[in-house]
Amino acid sequence: MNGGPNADERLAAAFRAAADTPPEAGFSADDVRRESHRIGRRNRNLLVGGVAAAAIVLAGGVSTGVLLARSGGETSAAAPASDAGARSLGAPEMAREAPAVPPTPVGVPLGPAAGDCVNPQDPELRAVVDEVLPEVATASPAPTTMICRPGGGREVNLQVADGELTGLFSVVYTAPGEEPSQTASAVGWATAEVSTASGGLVTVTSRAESDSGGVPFGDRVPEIASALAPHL
Amino acid sequence: MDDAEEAAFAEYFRARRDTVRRTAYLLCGDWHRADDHAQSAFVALHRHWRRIRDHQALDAWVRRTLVRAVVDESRRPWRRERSTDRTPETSTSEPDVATRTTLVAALRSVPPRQRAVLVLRYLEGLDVAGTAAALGCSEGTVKSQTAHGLAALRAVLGDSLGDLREAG
Repeated sequence: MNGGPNADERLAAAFRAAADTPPEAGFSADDVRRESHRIGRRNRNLLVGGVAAAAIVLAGGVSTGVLLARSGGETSAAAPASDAGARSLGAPEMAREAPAVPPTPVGVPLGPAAGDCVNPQDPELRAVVDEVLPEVATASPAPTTMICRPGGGREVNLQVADGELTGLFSVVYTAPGEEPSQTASAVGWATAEVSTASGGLVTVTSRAESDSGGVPFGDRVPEIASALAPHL
Repeated sequence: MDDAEEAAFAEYFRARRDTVRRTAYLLCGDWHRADDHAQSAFVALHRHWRRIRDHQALDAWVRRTLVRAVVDESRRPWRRERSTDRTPETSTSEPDVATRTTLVAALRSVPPRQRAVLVLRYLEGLDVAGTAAALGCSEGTVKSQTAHGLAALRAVLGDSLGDLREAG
């Protein structure tokens, strides 16, 4: 610390004293392990559910294609998104290991959601986002408006921090045939749109908090969108 | 995790739990919330244990996770914190307890990121570079946040901890 060692030492002593009588801890190592395993199971279930739903959608598509071919109709295969971006964009200090549950396999995309309204905090999409961008795995959900938008889309809206940069990070999946929401292109925003493996569109948008001084993950937004596309 | 990894985690947890709780307490000012944040940080550590290459860096990893969680929480609308110029009142006549209570209350009047800088520097004893690494910001930012945080702290504490003008 620079200068003023007496004042610094007094402050350090006061800080230590202020926290030197903790009450009995409210959690144990077993509590931590249980919660960790519970979250792991939840994420596995979400991914398995997403894969099953996507498989049903794909099976339906294949059946339709076969029927069309037999009746002389023309079909066109959706161009799958490149799997080059399917790897995780993990934090530098993280070694990529084989995850406990593999991410949604490329070629079996998550696809449209069921339900009448788009869930602004779609748990299946969140699991994919966490897998692709582990830095936001502990990010808090951002408050969102409760407007019902139909169309089978998915959204995740997070309050994120990227170093000292903070802001709102949104991932929006627009189902095939649906019109994507308009996103502004202005100072303090970074956004990228990429076609997904299911024929939809993924839009990643990062907005800076007013006093943050920059856009979180701003330079990486296109890369993140490309990495998400094969899973959606 | 296999048994050896679970044992290593348990050993680390035993050694560091109360230190992490203390840091969380000064960051948020409430022991119950401090326990919630500390537990969440250890849960995140347990989930990422195998991915952290450098186990010498566990303290830094937990510290960064904890600070980020507390600062993020302070931004939520239902728990957004406001700085105040009011001097916190103490309800005890015991001097050291009064100072303790006053400091914790005074810290709550310091904006969250400045508070995090002060806690990392004065409770955890990190230098400017270490604090910058923990918060993922520049050393210049740490220096300015320290100056602003100390000014806010002085405004509330007055001379109750002596002359703090040379601190920082």
